[in-house]
Amino acid sequence: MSVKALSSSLVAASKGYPSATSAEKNQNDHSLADVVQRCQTGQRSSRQALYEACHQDVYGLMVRMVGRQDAVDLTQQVFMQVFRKIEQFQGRSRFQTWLYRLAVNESLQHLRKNKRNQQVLSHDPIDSRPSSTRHCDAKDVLDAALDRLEPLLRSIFLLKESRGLSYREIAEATDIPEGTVGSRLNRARRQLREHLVELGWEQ
Amino acid sequence: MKCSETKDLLSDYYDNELSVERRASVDAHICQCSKCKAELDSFKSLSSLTAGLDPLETPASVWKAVEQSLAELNSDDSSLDKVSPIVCTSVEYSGKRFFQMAAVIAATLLIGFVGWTLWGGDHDHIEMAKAM
Repeated sequence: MSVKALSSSLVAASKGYPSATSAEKNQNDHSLADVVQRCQTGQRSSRQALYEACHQDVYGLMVRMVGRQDAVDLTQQVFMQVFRKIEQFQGRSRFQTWLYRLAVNESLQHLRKNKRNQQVLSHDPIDSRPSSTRHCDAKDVLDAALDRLEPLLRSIFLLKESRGLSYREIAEATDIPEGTVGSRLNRARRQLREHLVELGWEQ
Repeated sequence: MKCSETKDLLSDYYDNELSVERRASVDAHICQCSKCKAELDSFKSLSSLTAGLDPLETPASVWKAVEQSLAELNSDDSSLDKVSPIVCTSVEYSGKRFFQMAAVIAATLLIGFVGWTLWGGDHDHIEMAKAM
């Protein structure tokens, strides 16, 4: 499978698009596992293939975690960590889970540091248009509501809803007990619904 | 099953993470409770809304920056690779290093000897003065 084909089908699989059947998802996991293995054996040319296969997942998560401006730097940092630490990946879980763990850690650390530095953090992850022209459609309202969620809850919600991770994988990626994932998702969904209603969303 | 129990398990139920028995209990409750059913429907609406979010295009600058950092990292590695064999195996370098070490040891011994001689001389002088 070519790098581009692997990349687009992985994105489709992770977004839960209808084109990604479970058989395709398994095949993609195998193809990605091959690329990861080649990187682990020191094959430098495979690094770009790995990046191509995963960058959209990482960048998409980063934008919604820290905002567009910082997402570029943080995505770059995550991939540098991936290539430095790839030998530590032992294949006990899916590679994506390991990757999301690095990404979530990086974003939460960044947000903590920012909070310490400026106490009041007010970023618009997607859009910096004036508020009068924003929230014009459901997607904008959702982005604004997601931004109001506590960062850890936001990451848990996104890993479930946008990336389709299981509770075990979410627990691994966010370093929380598996038994608490359901209750945190309850909180995330209820708070998100409240924020959406406040922002004028009609179900 | 009560509403409060169902609400606690609602995400687990919605995400298909419950055992068959518990799933059946939540199912039975939802069939007869409009409030819990409405909450479950709101979870479904959130999923539809999230699924509609556009995939975000990663700027090309990200890979360029990663590639550059990797190149810097690799050049650091290779420069170390080039330097280390010279340091470890050059006979010429080892010979120079030996003479440098020998010179330092000889200088230390000389300074020590001169110091000891001077101190000894002063000591004898003091002893002689005391005797007088």
